[in-house]
Amino acid sequence: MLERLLHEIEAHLVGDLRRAGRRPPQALLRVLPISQDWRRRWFLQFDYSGTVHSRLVIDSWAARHLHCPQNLASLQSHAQTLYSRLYEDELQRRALDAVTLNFRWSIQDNPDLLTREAYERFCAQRDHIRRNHSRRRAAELHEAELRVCPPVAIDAAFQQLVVQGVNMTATEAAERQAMSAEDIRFGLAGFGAMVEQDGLSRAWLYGDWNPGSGDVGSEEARARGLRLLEEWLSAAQREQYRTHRYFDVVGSKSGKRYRIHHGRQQNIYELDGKGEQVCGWCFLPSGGLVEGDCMLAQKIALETDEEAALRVANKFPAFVGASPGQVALGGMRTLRDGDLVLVSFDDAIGEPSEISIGRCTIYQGIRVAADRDEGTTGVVRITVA
Amino acid sequence: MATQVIRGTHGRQIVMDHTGDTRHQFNPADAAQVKAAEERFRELTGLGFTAATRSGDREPVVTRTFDPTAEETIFIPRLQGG
Repeated sequence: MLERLLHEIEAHLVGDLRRAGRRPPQALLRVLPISQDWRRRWFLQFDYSGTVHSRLVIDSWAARHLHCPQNLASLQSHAQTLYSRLYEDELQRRALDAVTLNFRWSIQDNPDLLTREAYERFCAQRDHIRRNHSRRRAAELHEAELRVCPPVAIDAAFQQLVVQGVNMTATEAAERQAMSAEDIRFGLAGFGAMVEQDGLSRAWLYGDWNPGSGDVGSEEARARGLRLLEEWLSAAQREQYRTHRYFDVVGSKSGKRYRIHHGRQQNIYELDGKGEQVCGWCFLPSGGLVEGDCMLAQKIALETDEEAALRVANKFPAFVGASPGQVALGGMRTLRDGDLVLVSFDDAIGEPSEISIGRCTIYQGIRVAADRDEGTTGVVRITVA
Repeated sequence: MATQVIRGTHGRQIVMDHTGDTRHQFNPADAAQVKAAEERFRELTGLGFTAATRSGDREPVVTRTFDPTAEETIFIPRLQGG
């Protein structure tokens, strides 16, 4: 999905460049934060030098993605770098066209001129253009390093508990952990919880970051799957799902309550009497089915043959912000001593002594428990003073 | 002329697949259609699908035998650990 957004932006920039004709704007000055137009469609505004503006309409998923300031900043930086590169490409293309044309004219207008001499001049000019072009491009790239989030799953593989928040099966997570040499980058902040330190400590919690755990299937198939799910949910479950994007089922044997969140995998949580997560269970039907089908299969399995379902399931610990949709929709439990939260710091200035989670609760005495990548991202263990 | 909506005259088999689901309808009064539905049931359960039936708003029930009177039967592929 992110790649699609980047492609759309690239296509938009190329379109703007072409529409500008012979004198395209030299620079993309800024990309304004997302706004809504009168039709309530989300759009990004691109401001170029020479007071040229354009708008790109984006879908709601992309808008949600860009509500995260870090992602918006990375996209803005990416768009500027991309435009510089495209602009350079355009300049090079024009310069090369010009010398090629000049070369043709030389031969045409001066039949006596040695073709070889004209050709050598052409080659020299062409090489000069290419050399300069490469240098300019390299400088641009150095100044504005591409900050596009890679697929989060790859980067988050370093830490066992963090992995619970990613769209992977437990098996995949184990595989990824084996290759966990990769550092982590800011991009992973979105799927669980992100805490950004700026002196006073601010925090955002993004639970609805990913539309579902490991989405598969076409839009049509997914819509079909969700329709089927709704048909088979009880009235109470349907209502709960529509409101919260999760629904509760009762185990056929133990009578325990399970909460099935929207998603395909790692989306089932066993709840205790107070409604708090005890642990997570991961099982799904084989065959790469869409999330609606998976949730329905999970519901039927737990309601009709809980024991068999849990026999094949993998168990995983409950984790704050573990499930997409869980945090944003208020289903997250209160942070407790020992909880691990994924954090991302703006600057690598020491360790935070105080972090606010959500809007009002201050947790003190937080220490960074594990890996940090150049001081920008890591996992903190919550210690409530 | 008023139109009368007759419910439950057809059985429906829903097979979960990568397109979301595939649906097959059969008329319980038609022996040939019932036979085809029964074969489909046996074939799918033989492949490891779990069959669950539901009538009206009642809770789903897992079944291991073909019931031509069931309003809806859903076939779920074998479960696996994630």
